[in-house]
Order: sequence, then structure tokens, then C-alpha cells
Amino acid sequence: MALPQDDIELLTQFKNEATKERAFTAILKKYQEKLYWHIRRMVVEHEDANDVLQNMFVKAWKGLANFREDSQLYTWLYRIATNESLTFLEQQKKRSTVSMSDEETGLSNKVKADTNFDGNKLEWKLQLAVQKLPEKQKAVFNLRYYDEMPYAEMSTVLETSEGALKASYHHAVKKIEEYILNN
Amino acid sequence: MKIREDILNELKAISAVVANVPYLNVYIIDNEYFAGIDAGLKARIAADALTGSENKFTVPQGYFENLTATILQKIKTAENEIFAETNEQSTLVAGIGNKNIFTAPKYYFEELAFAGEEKPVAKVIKMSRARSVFKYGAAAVITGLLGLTIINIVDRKDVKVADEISVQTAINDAQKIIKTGTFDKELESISDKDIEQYLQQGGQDVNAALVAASTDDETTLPEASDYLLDENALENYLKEKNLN
Repeated sequence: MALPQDDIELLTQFKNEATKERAFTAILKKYQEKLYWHIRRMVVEHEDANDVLQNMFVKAWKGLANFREDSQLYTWLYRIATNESLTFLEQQKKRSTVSMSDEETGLSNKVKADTNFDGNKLEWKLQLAVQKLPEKQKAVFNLRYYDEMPYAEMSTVLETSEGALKASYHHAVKKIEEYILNN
Repeated sequence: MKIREDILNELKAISAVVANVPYLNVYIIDNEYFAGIDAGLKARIAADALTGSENKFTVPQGYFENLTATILQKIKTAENEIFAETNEQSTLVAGIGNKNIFTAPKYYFEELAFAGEEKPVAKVIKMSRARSVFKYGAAAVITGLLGLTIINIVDRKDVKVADEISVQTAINDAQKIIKTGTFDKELESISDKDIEQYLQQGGQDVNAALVAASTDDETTLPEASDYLLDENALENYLKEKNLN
């Protein structure tokens, strides 16, 4: 898929020292919200999401000079964001002395700790159900349900076949349904 | 916030329950957050550029070039220190040195390396079954003797006693056989009669040698229980082998 014209221009500007910073700010402005919400739904807490977002943009800054223009800039950024989120969750798990199931409960607890949490509302139940999913399946569900990403692009982000992604999304939805019906 | 039509249809096909969940972003952040994020990030990138993420440690010039020599020097110094310390206690003990006088059985370490794995099977070289039992006997008895040529010397009618020169020649010939690996060929050249005669001259029990040599990996001697069940077990075995 061809790179949008504005992305091509931004990348050209980024490769020029004089316009590098301005171009990066423009990329940041263009994608920061989408990426923030993707990360936030993965790690739940704002502080963690902010850390992960900053880390991923630092990595983007370093890697952007070598970015191959035959791929989409936004799928490339999503890939960094997803990998950073998964790494963050992995590190949290390692730091935690509790077992994996307790770690999942930990994420659920973070959801419940949100000032606006209302356990009776379906949308919050859905969030609790999402946090119970395995991390990669959670990423698949979020990218499809919230980011409305086509499977072909998800395939680039997660480096997984479209068929496997469709199956993963199906399983995720079924698990969420089961959780909502039983809670 | 509205879910896209195709995503909703896909969701409905999988689960009507999930499709009916209000499509809302439950998380809320400060309106100012996104406005200030670029400033914070730029500061981070600038700080990162200052500190850098590459390896900041350095090694003295020529460190790796001299590393091997430095380590060897350390080993030598340590050895000398041990010698000096022992020497202080006893000149005699220090003078003996610390050379290892023990030896491990042959192939011990090779076999040790295979511990837990399947041990390599020793190569078994079979002698031709076509050869007479006399040759097995000869091969068994002459192992450890000087060589096959001695048989020829002793057996020759004109030579009553192997004199020193003949023995030396025999040794040389034996070494040649070992070197060229023509043991089988030399063995073939000796007749059964010559071998039997040689064994008798050397005071060997020819029958015992033949019985011992007639058992190879495919032939088994009677079991202990065979003797209890049949008093003729040994006799039958010898008959079978044509040795009685």
C-alpha cells in the first residue's frame, strides 16, 4: 500500500536536519492520540500509558531515518506501540511476585480503580473482560474493535497471518461474551 | 463515538451480546495532555541525545590486544606464588613439582563425554567363518607373542633353534606385518598342521586353545543349567564343534 502523500512529505522533511524536528512534531501530532489510546487500553493506567507512549516515540525518532517507505508509517508506529506495550506488561509480570492469574486480576483492579469505574455498566464490564484476555489476543481485539483496523494492516502490525488474526478476534469476542453473561 | 458498520456486522455475527455493548471510551484524560506531550517528548529526546543510549564505557587503549598476554602472565604469577609458598615450607616437596602422576583408564574421558548419551559401540571385526577352527586357535594363542614369522622359523626343518639373528629377523618381520596390516594374509599362509605343531612345541594345550578360540560372538558355550540337565552337555558341544 502506498504511503499517503503527507507522510511521504513528513519523512522527506525528517531526513533533512533543518526540518527534522518540525516534521517529527507533525508526525507526533498526527498519530499521538490514536497511539495513546491503543497503549492505554493495553496497560490501563494513564501514567503507564504515558511512559510507554514516550518510549515508543523515542524509538520512532531513532528508527525513522531508516524507515522503509514501502510500508505504512502508521502501521509501523502501531507496531512499535504494541511491542512496547507488550514489553511493558511482560516486565510488570516479571517484577510481580504474584502468579499470572493474579497479574491479570491486577490489571482488572487497575480498571476498577479508575475514578469513573461503574461495575454495573456494560462498557466497564467489557473492559474487565478485555483485561482477562491473553496479551496478544487483547491487542488483536483492541486493534479491531476500537481502532477499526483492517486485518491486512493488523497483519503487518502484529506480524501474524490474517487468518490467525480473524480466529484470534473470534475467540476474544466469545471470551468477552462469556464474561459479560456470567458477571 | 460510533462503531464502523463492517466492524459492527462482524461483531454481530460472532456475538450479539458484545455487539450490544455501548461503544464508548471509558477512560478519560486531561484535555491538556495531548497539547503538552510534544514538549515533554522533545525534552526526553534531547536528554537521550545528550546521554546517548550507546555504550558509554571505555577500555584502556590496547586492552584487548594485550588481554591474552595479561591473563597468561597472571596464571604464571599464581603458579610461581604457589611454588614460592611450598618452597618456604619444604624445598624437597617444592622440588618434586606438581606433575600429575595418576592416569585415567584409556578412553575414560571419551566415554565420560557419552554419559547419558548412547555409548558408541566398539567396532567388531569378524574373522571369516570359512576359515578352519585351527586358525582361530592360532590367532588366539599367538596374540602377545612376537609375531607370525616366529612360527615359520621354529617350524622349519633346517632350523632347530631360533638363533639371535633369526629372532631379530622375526621381530623385524613382525613389525613389518603390524605396519602394513597384513596379519590376515600372513595367517592365511600358515597351514593348520604347522600351527598345531608350533603350539605343541611351545607347550600349549592345543585343545584348550581350540575350544577357547571356537567361541565367537555367534556361538555360546553351554549354560550352567545345561550341565545339570544333561551330563553330556560338554561332550555334545565338543562334538558339534568337531573338537573331541
